Amino acid sequence: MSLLRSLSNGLRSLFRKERVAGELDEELRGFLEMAAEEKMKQGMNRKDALRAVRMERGNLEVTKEVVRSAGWESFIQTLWQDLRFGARMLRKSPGFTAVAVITLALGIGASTAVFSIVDAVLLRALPYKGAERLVAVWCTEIGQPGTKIFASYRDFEEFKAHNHSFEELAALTWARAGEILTWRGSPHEVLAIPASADFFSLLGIPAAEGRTFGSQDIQNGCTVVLAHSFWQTELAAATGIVGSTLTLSGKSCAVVGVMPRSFEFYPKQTSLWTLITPESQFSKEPFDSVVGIFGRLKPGVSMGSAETELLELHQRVVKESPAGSWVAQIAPMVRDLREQFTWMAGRNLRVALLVIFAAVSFVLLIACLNVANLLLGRSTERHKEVAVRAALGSGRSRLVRQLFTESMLLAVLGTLFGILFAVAGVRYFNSTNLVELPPGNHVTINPHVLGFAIFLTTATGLVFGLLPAWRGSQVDLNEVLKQSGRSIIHAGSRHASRLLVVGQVALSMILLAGAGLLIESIVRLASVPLGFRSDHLLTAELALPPQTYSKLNQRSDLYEMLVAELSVLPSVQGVALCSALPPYNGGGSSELAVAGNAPIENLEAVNAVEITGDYFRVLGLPFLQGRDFDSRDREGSQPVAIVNDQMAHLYFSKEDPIGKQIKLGKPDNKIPWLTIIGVVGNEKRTIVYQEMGYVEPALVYLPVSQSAGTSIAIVIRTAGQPLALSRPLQMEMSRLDSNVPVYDVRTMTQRYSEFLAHPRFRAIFMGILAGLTFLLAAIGIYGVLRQVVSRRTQEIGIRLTLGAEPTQVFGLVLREGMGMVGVGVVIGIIGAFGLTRLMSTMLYGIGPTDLFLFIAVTMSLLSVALVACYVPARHAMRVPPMVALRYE
Amino acid sequence: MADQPSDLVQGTLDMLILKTLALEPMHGYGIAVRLEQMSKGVFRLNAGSLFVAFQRLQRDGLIRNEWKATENSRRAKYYALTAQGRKRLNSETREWGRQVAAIARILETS
Repeated sequence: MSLLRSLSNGLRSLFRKERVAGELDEELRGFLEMAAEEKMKQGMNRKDALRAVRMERGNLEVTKEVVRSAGWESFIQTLWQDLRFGARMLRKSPGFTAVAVITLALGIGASTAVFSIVDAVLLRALPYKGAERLVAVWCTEIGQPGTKIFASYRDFEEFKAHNHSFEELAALTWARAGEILTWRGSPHEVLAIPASADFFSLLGIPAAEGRTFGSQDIQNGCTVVLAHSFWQTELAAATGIVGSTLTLSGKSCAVVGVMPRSFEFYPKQTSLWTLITPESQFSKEPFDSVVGIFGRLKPGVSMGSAETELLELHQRVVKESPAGSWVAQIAPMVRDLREQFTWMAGRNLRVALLVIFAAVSFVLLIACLNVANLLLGRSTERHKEVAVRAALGSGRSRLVRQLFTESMLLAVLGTLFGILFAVAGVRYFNSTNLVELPPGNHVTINPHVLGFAIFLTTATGLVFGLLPAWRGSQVDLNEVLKQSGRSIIHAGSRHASRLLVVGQVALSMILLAGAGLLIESIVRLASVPLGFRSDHLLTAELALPPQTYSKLNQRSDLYEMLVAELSVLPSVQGVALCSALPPYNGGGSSELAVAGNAPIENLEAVNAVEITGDYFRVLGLPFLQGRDFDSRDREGSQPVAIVNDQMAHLYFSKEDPIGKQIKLGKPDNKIPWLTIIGVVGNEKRTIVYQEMGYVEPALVYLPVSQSAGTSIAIVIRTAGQPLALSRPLQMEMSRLDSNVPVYDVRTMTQRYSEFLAHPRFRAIFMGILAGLTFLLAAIGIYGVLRQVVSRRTQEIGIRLTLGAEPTQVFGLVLREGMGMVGVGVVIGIIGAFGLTRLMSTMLYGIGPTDLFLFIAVTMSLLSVALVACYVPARHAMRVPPMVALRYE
Repeated sequence: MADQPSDLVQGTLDMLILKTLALEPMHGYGIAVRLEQMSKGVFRLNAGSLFVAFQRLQRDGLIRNEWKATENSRRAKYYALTAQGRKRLNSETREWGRQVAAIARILETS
C-alpha cells in the first residue's frame, strides 16, 4: 500500500512537476515567513529577521533542492537528463555511434544465431526418453573400415531375444521406403518407414491422436502411425483419420494414431510408419531384409560392452545363415544416436559447425575489441571535456553516472539490434532449409548465449566507457587545464589501442584464410567435369503400383509408351529412363563373375543401373566402344549389358570387353549370363561416406526391356527451361495411368547442387564472417590512426614548419599504421597455419596451408589496411602548419 | 547535519513528528516550534530535514495533509496522523522504551 502511495506520489511529482514545485514553494515560504514573524515579534526588523531565519533554518532554494532530491523520482529526473545528454552526445558523432551500435549488434546477433544452431545440433539432448543412452546399431563391412550399413533382420531378432545390454531395442528401416498411398482417388508417393512394434516406446513418445503400435496390432495385416506434417499437408488434416483405413501400395492399412507435431526421427521426411509383423517380408526372409537397429542401453552399460555382446550374438546369426550370405561379411557396432544423426545429416556437419562457431566467437571478440577501441579513442578526445566539467564542480559520482548512462545507451541500442539480428537470422535459417539438419531438436534462440553475448559486449562498453570518468577523477585538474586543453596522452591507452588493432588483424587473417580455403574448395568441387552435360535436363521419379505391374512386359510397355509420348513434346530433345539417376550412387552393390575367369578377389563395388536405350545420348555420356541398346534387346532375347570405362578398366584391363559374358552374382548363381555389347564413359557420382568429392563407380547398365523394376526415374533433355516440362510430364503420365505418381521433379543441376549444399553453406557463412571481421578490422585501423593524427597534429605542424616534407609526414603515419598491421598479419598467419589443419576434411583440391591462397589473403588484407591507413595519413600531410600549431 | 545543535538518532525525527501530531493536526512551522519547546531547545530543526521527513512520512501513508487557514489567517499545509500513523507511533514508542531501558542497563553495568 505504502509502496503504491510512494509510487503515485513520485509519479505525481514527475508528471505534475510545476504544481508540486509550486506547493512546496508556498509551504516553505510560509514556514520561513512564520519563523520570521516570530523574530519580528521579539523586536527585529523584517530584513534582519529573514536573515536570521535563513541562518537558522536554511535557504529557501537550497531547501527546495534538498526536499526535491530526497524522493526516488529525482533519480529518474537526473537519469532522464543524462539520457538526453547522452543521446545528444551520440547524435553529435553519428559515425562513431553507428559503427559502435552496428558492431555490437553484429557481434551479439551473429554469435547468438550460430550458437543456437550449434546448441540444437550438437549439445542439446535429443527429445526422447533416456536420450543420453540411445544408440544406433550399424554394421560395418569387414575389411572396409568406416562403412556403415544396416544389419539383417535376423540380427535384430537375435539381438532382441538374447541381449542383456539394452532396456529396449527397436528396428526401423528406410532402405526401401517409397510406397504409393491412394487417398481420395489420387496416388501419393509416400515415405513409409517399416518399424518394429516397440519403436515408439523406445523413444518414449506417445501419439498426439490415437495411439502408437501395440502388441495387439502384430496379428493384423497392416497398421500405420502417421507423421503430423503428412497428416496436415497430404491428408488435409482430415478429422476422424484415426481408426480409418488407407490404401498403401494396394494393401489396406489401419491408422491407429498420429504423432505429435514436434516428433521427428530419421529420415525427417517420413510420412508414416508401418508395423513390421510376423507376416511381413522381414520375418519371412530375415537374412535378406535389412534394418537399422536402435536401442536404449541399460544404465551403466557402456557402448563398448554392448558392442562386444552383439558381436557374439551376431556370430550365432552367421552360423545359421545360408552359405555365402552377406551376413558373414558384416560386424555390428554400437554408436551414440545423436552423433549418428549429425553424421547422417552431413558428413562434416559437426566439424563445420564447430569451425563456424569458432569463427563467430572471433567475430564477437573482434566486435568487443572494436567497441573498446572506439570508446578508448573517444575517451582521449573527451579527456578535456571531463576535466572541465570536473573543474566546474561536477561531482565524481555524477560524472561517472553520466558516462555510465552514455555507455549503457550504446550497449542497449546495440543489444536491441543484436537481438533483432539473431531472431531474424534464426528465422531465416529455419524457413529456408539451407542445409539439412539432424532430426530431433529445432533451432531456437538460446537465451543463455544471448545473455552471455549481451553481458560481454555490455561489460566491454561499460569498462571502456567508464575509463574517461576514472581518469577524469585521477588527473590533476590544474595540470590538464594549464596545458591549454591539450590532451594528455596516456601511454597506456595508446598501447592498448595498438594491441587491439594487432589482435583484430590477426583474427581476421585467420578467418580470411579459413573462408578462402572453403570457398576455393566449393568452387573447385562445383567445376569438376561430371562426364556428361548436366544442364537442360529435367528429372523425375515414378513409382508403379506393384499389383498392376507385376509382369516385366507390363512395366516395359508402360515405359516405352511414356518415352514415346514425351519425345514428341515440343522442345524435347531426348527422353530416357534410368533406375538410379546421378548423382547419388547408393543401394546395394552386386557380386560379379566373369565367364571363363576365376572368381574375382577383392571385388570393388559394382552397381547395376537399368536404362532405356537413349540414356547415354540424353545425358551426353560418350560412347567408347560397341553399340547402344535397341529394339533387338527384348525380354527373351539374349541378355545384354553395357559397362562403363571404370568397369572395363577394373576387370578387362588387358582385353576387349565387347562380347565378354558377366554375371551380377556368384558364378554358381542361377541368374543368366549377360553379354557386354558396349563401353561408355564414366559418370561422376557421389557416395554417402565422402562429402568433398566425387567417385567414378564401376557401373553395369542393363536394358529396361530385360530387367525393369517398379520404381524408375525419367530424364528429359530439353532446348528450353527444364522445369517448364514438369506440367506436361505429369499430364502425360496421368493420361497413361493416373495411378502412377510422379514425384521429386527437379533439374539435374538441382540434384547436383543439393549435394553441394553443405559445403556451399559453410563456405558462404565463413565468407560472410570473414568479410565482417575484415571490415571491422579496417574500421579499427582507421579509427586508431585518425586518433593518432589528431593527437599529434601539433607535432606534425612543428615538423612541417621546420621544413619536413609532407610526404615524410605521410610516411610517418603510414608506417605507424602498417607496423601494427604487419605484426597482426604475421601472428594471423602463424595462427592460421595451426588452425586450418582442423578443416582438412572439408577441403577439396586444396591443402590446408596452400601457399598461393595464403599469399592472396595476405595481399588483400594488406591492401585494404593500406587504404585504411592512407586516409588519415593523407589528412596529416595536408595539415596547414599554422592551423596545426594553434590546434588545441 | 553537523551544524545542528544536536544530531538526531537516525529515524528518531520521524517518531518525534508523529508524536507532535498525535495531539492535533499542525503545520510545518508549528511542528518545528513544538519540537523545540518540548525538547527545551535541544532540537532546532532546519527546514530541509523537516520537509524531507514530511515527504517520507506522507509516502509511507503515516500522515496526510490539508491546506487550511492558520490563526493568523495565513494559508498553510496542515499535517495530521492517519490511523496507520497512530499505530506506528504506538509501536515505535514501545520499541523505543525497550531500547532505552536496554541501553541504560548496559551503561549501568559497565
